[in-house]
Amino acid sequence: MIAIIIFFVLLVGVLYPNAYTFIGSFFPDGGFSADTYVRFFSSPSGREALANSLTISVATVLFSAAIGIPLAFVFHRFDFPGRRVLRAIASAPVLLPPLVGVISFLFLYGESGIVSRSIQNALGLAEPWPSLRGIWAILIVHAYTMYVYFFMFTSAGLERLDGAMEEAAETLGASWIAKLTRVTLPMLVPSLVGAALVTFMASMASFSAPYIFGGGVRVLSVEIFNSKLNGNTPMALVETVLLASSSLAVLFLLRWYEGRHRYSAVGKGVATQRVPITSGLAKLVAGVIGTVVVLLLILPHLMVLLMSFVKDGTWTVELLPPVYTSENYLKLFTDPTFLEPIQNSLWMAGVATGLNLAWGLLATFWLRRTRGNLRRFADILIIIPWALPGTVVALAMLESFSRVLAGTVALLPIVYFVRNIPLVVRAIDASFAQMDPAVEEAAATLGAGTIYTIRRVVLPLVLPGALAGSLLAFITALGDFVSSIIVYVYSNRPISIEILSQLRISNLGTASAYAVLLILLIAVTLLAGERIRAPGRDPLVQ
Amino acid sequence: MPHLELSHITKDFGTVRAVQDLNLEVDRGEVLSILGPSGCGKTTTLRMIAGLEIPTSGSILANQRDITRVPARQRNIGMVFQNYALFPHLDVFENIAFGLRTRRLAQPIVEARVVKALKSVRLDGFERRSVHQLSGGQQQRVALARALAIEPEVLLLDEPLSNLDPSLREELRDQIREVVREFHVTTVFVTHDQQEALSLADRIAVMQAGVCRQVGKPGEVYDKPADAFVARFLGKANLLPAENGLLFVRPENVIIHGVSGGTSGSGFSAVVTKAVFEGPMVTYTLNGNGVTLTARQFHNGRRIFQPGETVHVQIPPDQSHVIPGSDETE
Ligand SMILES: Nc1ncnc2c1ncn2[C@@H]1O[C@H](COP(=O)(O)OP(=O)(O)OP(=O)(O)O)[C@@H](O)[C@H]1O
Ligand SMILES: [Mg+2]
Repeated sequence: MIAIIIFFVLLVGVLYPNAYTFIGSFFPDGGFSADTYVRFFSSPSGREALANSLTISVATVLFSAAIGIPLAFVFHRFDFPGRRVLRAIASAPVLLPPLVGVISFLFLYGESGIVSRSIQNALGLAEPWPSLRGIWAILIVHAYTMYVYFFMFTSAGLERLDGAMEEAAETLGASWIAKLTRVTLPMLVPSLVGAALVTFMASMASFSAPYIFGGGVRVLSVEIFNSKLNGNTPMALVETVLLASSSLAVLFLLRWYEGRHRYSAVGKGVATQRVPITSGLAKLVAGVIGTVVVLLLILPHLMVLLMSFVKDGTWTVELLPPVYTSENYLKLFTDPTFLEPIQNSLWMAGVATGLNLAWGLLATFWLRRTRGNLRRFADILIIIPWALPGTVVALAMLESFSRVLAGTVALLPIVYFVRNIPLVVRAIDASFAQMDPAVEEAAATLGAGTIYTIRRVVLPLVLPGALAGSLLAFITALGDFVSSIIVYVYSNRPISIEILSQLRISNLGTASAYAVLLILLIAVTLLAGERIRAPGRDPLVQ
Repeated sequence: MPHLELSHITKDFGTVRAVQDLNLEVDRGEVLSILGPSGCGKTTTLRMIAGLEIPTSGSILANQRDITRVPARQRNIGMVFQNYALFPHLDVFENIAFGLRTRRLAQPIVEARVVKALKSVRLDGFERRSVHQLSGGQQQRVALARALAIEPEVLLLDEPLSNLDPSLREELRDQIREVVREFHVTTVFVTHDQQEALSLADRIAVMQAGVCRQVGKPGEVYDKPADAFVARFLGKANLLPAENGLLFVRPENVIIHGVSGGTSGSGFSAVVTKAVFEGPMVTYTLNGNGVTLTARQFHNGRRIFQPGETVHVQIPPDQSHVIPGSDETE
């Protein structure tokens, strides 16, 4: 029975839509033909989109690494005033839903952006600078949002490093260069490879940046959307298959690599001592750099906040908005038409996350007791939505459910649910891994049956981690734009879609008020997640 | 009539044979120790008695009833796990009450039994502590109280003292002995520490590589080991080549005296090659009659023989015996 529920979801939600898309891409008009593929590869625009996607992704990895790795080292190795605050702020991009981040970058660094025009005025240039557009704009936005992967992976890798190892190298006469290149970096390689692959996949999947800010640069994720919009479904399917297969290839590369490089459980070694920055000049330099970095990191948030107080239709050619008002916020909560998207986002993300939690618990319980091929099959199906770009999942489901769910209110929450399956299952898995399996056996020797053990022992131990993971899923669903834009209908339009519509009719203030609300909801949810993982709830450490 | 009986138990994990043709009987109220080196199948044996593992073949009987396939939760067997396996989300009281609640006992009875169990492990007043706030020794005692509170038919202890530091070990060893005798519960405990087994158990089963080599009272297995492995595992042993096997004698039973006192009939002379002073006792390494052997003696303030000296060695026939077979461990 349980197995039926589990596999129903995996087969209908994951396997069927993707198989449908794949097979459908070879049957453009009923009969088998690879014509659409031929057309894609023989058209310059198709090849261009594929090449752009790949180039941008490789460049994004390089940019993100160049920012994230040094930053992680600085926080790990040096002690300076404001270190903890800065470290928290380093994760600031996480708070911005993809669409919101892109919009604020547009208004900061775009052709008529505040920063571009301020620099023009200050330096007396003929044109605003940097006036980001096209590939550069996409890359900058990607670097801002995705350096966090490198930062987090590298930080985690450095935490795992045993300080004694470096000290040992030092006693063996290694210079700091030798220490870095022969000891530290090689040990970090697994973390770095992980970060690179994750960044690559995120960049391939990125939709908001090229769609809003790309100025006509062709990339696969946007081409899929355009083909669909133009009614060229066969081409959309082919592009979907191509995007999906490049992401899946990277996923399997990642899993293969992880399998070969198990992080060895490092015992309690010596923690690396942080070098305090003491000299006056160094402090000054560090202070200045720190301030600039913080400013760059939270400028997008501040920009959205500023714009949310702009009276709609008043800001045209001035450097700074001339008229401020709080009516944007008032409107959101008093006018039912404006309130509706908020309610939509909340209920859809809520329902999807609730299902994720319930199904995730059920699936993990079942998988833990199952071995063999059935389990391996389930494992693969569970991980697939993680690797697939939102555009792919959404389009595959829209096409494959075109006779039942497409066009109904229910499809979008189902898409949210499917996309978050891997996230929640991984979180629950991680909590299970922390649980001492002997406690279940102890419960059995004390007379507890399976259900009683689950209710009194396993659930209380696993639930905090499961809830924390679910909150992350909730945030992702709440801020989603890519899959929403493909499957939403007017009556369930979520906040992100409403932001876009408001922008289209130049209601900058209203759009930004929505964005600020979204940021606040995300921040509150993240804080709640931190609270759940309160200390003392962790399993006993022997 | 044994309370607990294992007959012809074999357990395979894939191609690994963890336990082979094991036969054991434990009487009511008896304390049996399973002693053996790491990986010899001790935990596996205990888990099969608890019902956490099903034997590949053979049967387990309690009160003459076959329980081989009865699930753990229906066996009424209390187990103290090697890492204690306390429930981290429950406090001390609820940990101990867990097994009582699964039996749907009334709250006053639950409370009374928890208090009694805590008292017997000398942790009165710890009811509302979180298990995170306990030392290793205290956690161990909570685990013991939890297993005892259900008033089990049989109590199983998996290396109950191995996670504790040496000074605590002795204290807890005495406490476990008292508690087990007080509850008069049939007990099987596993250890790789021969001191622990010798001082706690009524009988000892010595295992090696999944096979039971000998079962007997502590005195028997120590003084009359069945084979070279048992002889060595329980303490220092001399195994000297003999007519049809090996002559076994514990170092402390080897008699030596100075040659000046005159040699009386039996025995042989040997040269001292090493003398190690250990406080009350001295351990000598001797070379004579073509063999090397060890002797331990209380010196009682007498003169200690020096390396190079010749001494007279006697092996008392009532404290030595011939073990069949050759010495495989050397
Ligand atoms: N679940 C299992 N799967 C495969 N092999 C196992 C399993 N449990 C035990 N074994 C093997 O069975 C043998 C006996 O293991 P067991 O845990 O009973 O040893 P032990 O005597 O308790 O050792 P220790 O003193 O180290 O705890 C070992 O070789 C072990 O590797
Ligand atoms: Mg063991």
